[in-house]
Amino acid sequence: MSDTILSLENITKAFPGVVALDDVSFDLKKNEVHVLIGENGAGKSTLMKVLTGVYQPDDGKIILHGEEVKISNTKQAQERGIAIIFQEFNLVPNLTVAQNIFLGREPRNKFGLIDMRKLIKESKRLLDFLHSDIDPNAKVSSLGVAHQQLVEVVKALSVNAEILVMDEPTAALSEHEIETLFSIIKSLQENGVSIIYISHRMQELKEVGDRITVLRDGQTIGTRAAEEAELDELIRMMVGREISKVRIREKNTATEKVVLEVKNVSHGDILRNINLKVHEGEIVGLAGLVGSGRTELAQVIYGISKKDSGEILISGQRAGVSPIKSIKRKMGFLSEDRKRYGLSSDLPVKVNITHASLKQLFPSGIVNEKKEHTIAMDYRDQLRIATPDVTRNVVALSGGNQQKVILAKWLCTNSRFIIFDEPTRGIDVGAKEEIHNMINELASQGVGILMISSDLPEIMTMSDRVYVMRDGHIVKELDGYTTSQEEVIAYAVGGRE
Amino acid sequence: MDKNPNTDFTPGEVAGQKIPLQKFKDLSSSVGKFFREHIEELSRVFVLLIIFLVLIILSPNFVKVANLLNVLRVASLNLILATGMALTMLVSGIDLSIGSVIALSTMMFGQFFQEGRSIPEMVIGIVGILVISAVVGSINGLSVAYVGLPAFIATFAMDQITRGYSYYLSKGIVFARFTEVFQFIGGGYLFGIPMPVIFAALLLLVVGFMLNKTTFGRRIYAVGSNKEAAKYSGINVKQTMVITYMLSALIAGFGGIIYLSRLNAAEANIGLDFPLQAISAAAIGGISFNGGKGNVFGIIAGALLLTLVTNGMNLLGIDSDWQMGFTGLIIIIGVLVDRSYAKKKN
Repeated sequence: MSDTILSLENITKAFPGVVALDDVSFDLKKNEVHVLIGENGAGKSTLMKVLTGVYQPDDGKIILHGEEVKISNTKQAQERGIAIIFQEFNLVPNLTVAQNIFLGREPRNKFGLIDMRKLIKESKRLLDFLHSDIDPNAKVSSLGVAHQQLVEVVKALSVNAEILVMDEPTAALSEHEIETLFSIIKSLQENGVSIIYISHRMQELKEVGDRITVLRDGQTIGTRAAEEAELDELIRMMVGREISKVRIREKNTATEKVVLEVKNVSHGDILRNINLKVHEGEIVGLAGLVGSGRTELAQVIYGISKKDSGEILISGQRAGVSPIKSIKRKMGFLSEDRKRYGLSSDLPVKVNITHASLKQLFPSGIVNEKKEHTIAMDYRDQLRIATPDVTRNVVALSGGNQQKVILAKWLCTNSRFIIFDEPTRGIDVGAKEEIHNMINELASQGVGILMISSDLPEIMTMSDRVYVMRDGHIVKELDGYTTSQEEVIAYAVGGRE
Repeated sequence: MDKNPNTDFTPGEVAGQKIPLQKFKDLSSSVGKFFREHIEELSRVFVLLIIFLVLIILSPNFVKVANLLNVLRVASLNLILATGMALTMLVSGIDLSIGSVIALSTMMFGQFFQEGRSIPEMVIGIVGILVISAVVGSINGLSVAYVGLPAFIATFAMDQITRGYSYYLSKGIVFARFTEVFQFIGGGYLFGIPMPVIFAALLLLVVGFMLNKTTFGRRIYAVGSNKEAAKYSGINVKQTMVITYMLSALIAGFGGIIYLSRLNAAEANIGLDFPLQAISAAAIGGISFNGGKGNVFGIIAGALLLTLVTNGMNLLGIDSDWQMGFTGLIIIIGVLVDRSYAKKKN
């Protein structure tokens, strides 16, 4: 374990408005599993995209086998023996395992047609190499997640990858499948493949990795040998930054009255026995890594997805059946994906604002356009939505203003309980502060709020209480005023039970 | 018997009022802000105007009141059908069954309009046609919204089923010689205006009101613009779709009654090309296939444009084979122009 085969030196990559990678260096030795960890947005994915030619670095060098190289696209990366397996698989479900492995590179016979026999034989050889008994003729759609991942690994091997990047490979796997994956990684290592392993899960890092490097805010914080690394230290390295920001929310306005109660709710493998409460006038933060089940929980509460078991009560009445029912119970929901779930972009601002309260506002079924216009103008002024007039289509507005339109929609229904899923994602700093103040203001008016966020400072400065989710469980309830970022992250990544 | 509603043309039937050229002058005088907001609709009016002028220059017969009223009368049936079609297109669907729905309901109730029948019997016939249409439309809606079939497939299958069944019912029978009262619906005139034109105008008023001034209209646009967002806003997407398909077929039935009355005859193969005629008018009129975009003014412009062009080509003596080609070209141009507006807006 000595000779370095790859080193990324002083890589810098900036996007408009944000420096994603700032002078990052990273190296990989032969036969090594080098783990890369960091919070959402720390720069892990960007770094890997630079390595695989998706992005070009603004500055810095990529040195492969002692030679500086330029990688301008993923194909070139492949030719140089670098392959990546993304969290979302790149497989065609309706094709067979063998067809997927050699997709676009099928062996040809002398007539220029696909040589099926060779295709199967080669696939079988590669699968055997990983001691896998998957049938190369099986359709990918018939395989479980772990086997699909294995097909991805085989696909990478089929291009003779020397360096394999795995992005959160265990995110979708069960305990047993993770063991299989680790044994595959071992045998890859024995056969001369070096692996860059991106993960959030603290427990598995030491088991699978040789070295661990922590990224934070686009910078390399440090590298530790896996054997010596302490979880607490890694977490400190990940979070590191001091919160310079003062709490946005100073006074807890929560009352005794429970507005949302979730009892023993389960939903497949994604949500397991969830219990939580939100009081009127309270802001409850829901922290956790991407994929921990936060958004799914929100959807189950709102009634978009059906729960398998358990009970959901809004203001003491049964809910979680359908959005229509949830709205009747005075619940609002701001989705993380505004364009897809929040807005009819091609329709005017005023129409969007009244969408959820048509029955309430116009019980006769006839739209009073004057009333609609007045209501919309009131919300425009109240929420300072930057649009000269409310007949303009939503698509013309900025992200922050679109979010305000959605908020107006839920104020228009007189919501008493609102879920904000990533309320400020992709929103500029000024509008972000405004939205924070609005959420705070709503709470002080007695609205109960459940706020899902990957933005830790947002959770820390806004919440009265914090629930931390991991792997579909709520693992911890914390006091928003006394907890620390380290504590929240530690529960989220499983550094603490 | 199955005539193209746009080529069914018999000049010189009736004398009527002066041409409403004043309308266009009024429009151009109040341009300004209105122009910027309604550039899409206005561009259609502009195209209509150009075609109008070209036809005036090319054919002296065109500006005759009789011909103009005839253009309106011919356009009115497709206008009615296109209105129903536009509703399904607004919820990003389509209804290919409207012609066969008319055939089926006619085969079931056509006998009620034949000579010797009383007025109550005719009312039964009319109500029957409307009810059958609505039922078939609801089934379309259910299979699209609840079963999840693509609208093209669901309504095409329904088209085949209803057409087949109407052939079975008819056994080659042709209904003809309807009572005079019934013939008045499609062939009569009120104050010199052909009845179909009056019916089309009334329908457009009702549908226009529904789309712009009712919560149901809001729901239609919401569903067509973004189904997921509509669902998240507590709009009953499936119910909205079922009602929309029901309305589309109901309007088709309504148009069918008028068509039947004007032809004074009916057989099982009527309306074979109705869906495509209606789709053409709606598409030219700026009703987006992706849903959520378009209004009644577009439908009016689309149907008029289609009829005017056909009428003009007839007057100029252009061969009917060429006419079809031209119609196709116009559809493509219309949709392309729309798309370029949409791009500019974004």
